[in-house]
Formats: sequence, C-alpha cells, structure tokens
Amino acid sequence: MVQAHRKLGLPTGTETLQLREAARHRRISTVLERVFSLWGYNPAETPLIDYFEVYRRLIPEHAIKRTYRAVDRQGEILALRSDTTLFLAKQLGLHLREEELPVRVYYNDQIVRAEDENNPSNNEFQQAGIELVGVPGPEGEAEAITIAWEAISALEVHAPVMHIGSHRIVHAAAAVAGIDKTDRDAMDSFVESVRTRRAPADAPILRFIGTPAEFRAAIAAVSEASIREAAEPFTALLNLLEQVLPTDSFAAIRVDLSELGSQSYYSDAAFGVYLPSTNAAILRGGRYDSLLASFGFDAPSVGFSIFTRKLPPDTMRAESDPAAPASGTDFAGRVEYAREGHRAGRRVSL
Amino acid sequence: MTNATMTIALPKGRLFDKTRDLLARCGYELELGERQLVARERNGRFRAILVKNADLPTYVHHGIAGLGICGSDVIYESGHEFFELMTLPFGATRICLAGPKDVGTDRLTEGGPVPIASKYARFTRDYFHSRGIPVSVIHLNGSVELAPVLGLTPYIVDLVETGGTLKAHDLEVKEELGQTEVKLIANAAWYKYHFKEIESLIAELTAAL
Repeated sequence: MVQAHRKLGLPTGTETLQLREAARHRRISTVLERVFSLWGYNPAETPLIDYFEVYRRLIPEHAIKRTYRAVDRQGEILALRSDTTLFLAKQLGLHLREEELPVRVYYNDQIVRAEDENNPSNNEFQQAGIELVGVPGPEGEAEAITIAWEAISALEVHAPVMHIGSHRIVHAAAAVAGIDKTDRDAMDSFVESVRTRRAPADAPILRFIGTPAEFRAAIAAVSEASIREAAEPFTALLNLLEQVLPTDSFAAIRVDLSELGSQSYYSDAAFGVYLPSTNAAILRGGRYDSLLASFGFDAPSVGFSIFTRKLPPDTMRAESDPAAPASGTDFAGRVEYAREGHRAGRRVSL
Repeated sequence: MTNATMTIALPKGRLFDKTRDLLARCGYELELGERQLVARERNGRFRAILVKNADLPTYVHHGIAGLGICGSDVIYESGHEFFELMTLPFGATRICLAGPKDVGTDRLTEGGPVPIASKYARFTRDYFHSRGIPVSVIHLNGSVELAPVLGLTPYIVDLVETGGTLKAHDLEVKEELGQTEVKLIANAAWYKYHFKEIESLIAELTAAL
C-alpha cells in the first residue's frame, strides 16, 4: 500500500503544473525565449543528472544541502540539476573552441532544489536565462543587463528595480582590510559580511545603495586609490547602461555593493531584479570569468537566470490567444473549419 | 509579499511591550484591539502583526512581514538568512549550559556524545561541534529544566536571565555559551526594494533609543 504522503505529495523542490498554470508558464517561456533569440542567442540543453564530484567545490555548503543526490549502479554519486549555469558551464567548458567565441546561448530548464518539508518557500523550480561567453569587461556585462531588462519588460511585471554590485570592488576593499586573496575562507567570510550588510564600519562604501550618480560621487570620495581603481570598470559599465537603456529602465538601476549574488562563482559585476511584491530576487546574474576554466576552457563569461516560478502570480495570467471553438454541423465539418483557421494562423479547437 | 505596506512582525509578550514603547517614542502608536493580532499604526505608516516568537522568522522569510523584531537565538534556530539591521537595547540575555549542582562538566571532555536537552537544538549542536565536542541533542519546546530533574539528559542549554528557575530546580549554570540580543531583521528582498523607507525608520528608532 502506498503511503499517503507519497501518493498525495511530491518530493520537496519540485512541482506539477496543470491547465491554466501550465499555459501561463508556457507563455512566460515563449516570451523569454523570443527575447533571447532576437538578441542572437541559441538554445542550449543541459543534462538533468551529472556527476556530483565535478561540481562539489563550486557549490557553497548551504547549496549542497539543497542538491538532490543519488548513487548510480557503478557507485558514482550523481547530482540532479540544481543550477543551470553550473551544468551549462561544464558542457561549454568541455566543447567550446577559441575560434567559436563569442558564444551566445540561452536555456529554459527545470531545476530541483530540496527544501524543508515543513517550510517550502523558494519556488526555485525553473531557470530561464542566457550565457555570453568570450566577451570580457563592461561590454559583456552591459549586454547581459540590457537583455535582462528587455526580458523583464517583456514580462510586464510591475515596478521592477535592478540592484548591481561589484565583486571587484569588494575584493579591493578586502585587500585594504589585509585579507590575502589566496585565503579563500577569509575572503568568503568578508564577501559574506558585505552581502548580508554587515560590512566593516570603517568601509562605509560597502554598504552603499543609491543611484549611479550618487555612486560616482561616493566612490570618488573614497580615500583608498586601489578601491577607486577597482571601481573604474564598474563605472564604465554604468556609463554604458546610461547610454543604451531606456530612461525609465536606467532610473530603476540602483548601485548596491551588497548585491553579490548567492553563488560563489561570481567574479565581478553581479545583479538582481526585485519587485515590490516578491520575497526574493526574480532574476540574478553576473560575471563569472573563472567558472569555465574549472571545466577546462578559460573564457570570460557573463549571464543571468530568471526564476520564472518566482514571478508574481498575475504575470502573463491573461491568455493572449485563446482557441476558438470550431463551428460545423458534424465532426468532419468542424475539422475542416479548424483546418481553415489553422491555415490563417488562428487557434481553433474541436 | 502580499502587499507593499510596511509590515513589522513583533513577538507576543514582553518584547512586544518594549517595542511598542520604543515605537511610541518615535511617535508611532500601535492600535491593537483585545485579542487582535494585527495592529495598525495610527498614522498608517505601517502595520504590525503579533506572532509567536518562534514563528516570527517564518513570516519574515516568506515576506508576509518585511521587517521583524526577534531574538538572535530564534533567528539562529530558524536557519533562515536575514539582514540584521539593528540591535535593540532590551531583551539581551545569556545562553548557558546548565545542569544539576552535583553533576560536573567532566562528561564534556570524556569523548562520547553528551546528551543535552534544549529548545535551541541547532545552536547547541553547532556550538559544541565547533569546539570538537560530540553532543546528542534532544529538542524540547519548553520547561527544559525538567530534563535533568527527570533524568532525560544530564545537561540543558537554555536562556538564563536571573537564574531563578534553575535554582528552583536545583540546577546551576555550568558555562555561559554566548549572549543573545534582540534584532531588527529584514527580508533581504524587501529591504532592497524599500531601503530608503527602512533606513528612515531605523534613523528614527536610533534617535529614540
């Protein structure tokens, strides 16, 4: 006899979508894939299961607890896909060649992250996003952010804001604080303190949140030259964004040096998009220049993921193209009517 | 989050009274009817929800409340991550290892897992493991002092204010493990979106301390 909790429930971190919700999810996917495709990105598929060992050192401890693992028939420990960026990085790292760069790919994949059975809350079931490989510096980051904004705009969510931070600036501040960059534990601890807004009181710049203009003034007033120099690519990125983003989008950009992403592989700019009505970022991205090197191919990379199941429930709720019922006196007549509609590009159901 | 009104989760009991006084000093009067658990600030700046202490992090984590006032012990036990924006000048207390007066602390160094009862199971496990001491933690929801009295475990880990409850059960503090403080916490996404409003409130609270 099947236990009731198995019959009625699902393992944590996964979900089933039915009818209207499945249709809404598909509409969101279609909108995003169209944006990514228009910007010249090609679809990529990542494996659902891979060897855990490959990713072990790239996954922070808290995320390891959330990674579903299994043992295969040869005794290998496997991991279910919990982060598309990581799984994609391995595939790109193994198969890319220098002459193919830059490479632009997008994905729209299910991910599985275990949750507390008594407190499921994360809705991290699906990631749609892009990876841009082979474009270093502010232009690569500006490309990713431009597309991120366009994707968010296409979803017509209400009043989004984007927070952008910089690992490079934080690392420069860590060096000023005497932290050796090869001491990974100390560096991780410093980054964590900045990310959770517990940055050292003697480095107030690390708690900065404000407009790009306010940031330019604040960074110019920082006394340590090494921090000001580290901020130069970041201010160049802000200048590019000011040129290319629509005015209302740029007005919704906030420099936030605690915005460092939740993954340990980010290496420079990191960004997140927040809404007034959600309890977590709906989009996260950034630069991770050393990630592909972990898999054998060293190339600068930048990208972002939208957690599509974190979007507010009213996103793409309205059916944009409902199917009309076929008319006709009998079945064959209704089929003919429907085919005629299909030839004209209309949705018609029997 | 269910709406964009600033919502603060407050714990029922003494911390609520102290927080209410602090807010009143900032000019924010909470209107709370008898047996009601949702209070409106008279000027409409925010609303407060009264929840059980241990449930408070859950409400903030899910974004039902953007802000909360909560003990660091409860925050730690929740396992959730918050922005800790401010330490409030009340409610601080000690978290201690305690046991019967006639039981020493030798068992802590004897090697085997040390049985300890506590409401603070996560803290207890992490604290002793960080010192290389294996422990076997039994989680209790209250009246922890009974555990050594009835022979469930030789030790407990609990908050100790005056020590009166321990004394009444013939127990004593064996070791102070740390201090707990009352924190103003925020859901990170809520803070990021509403940081100006929240920083303004923090400035007012700080000025009123």
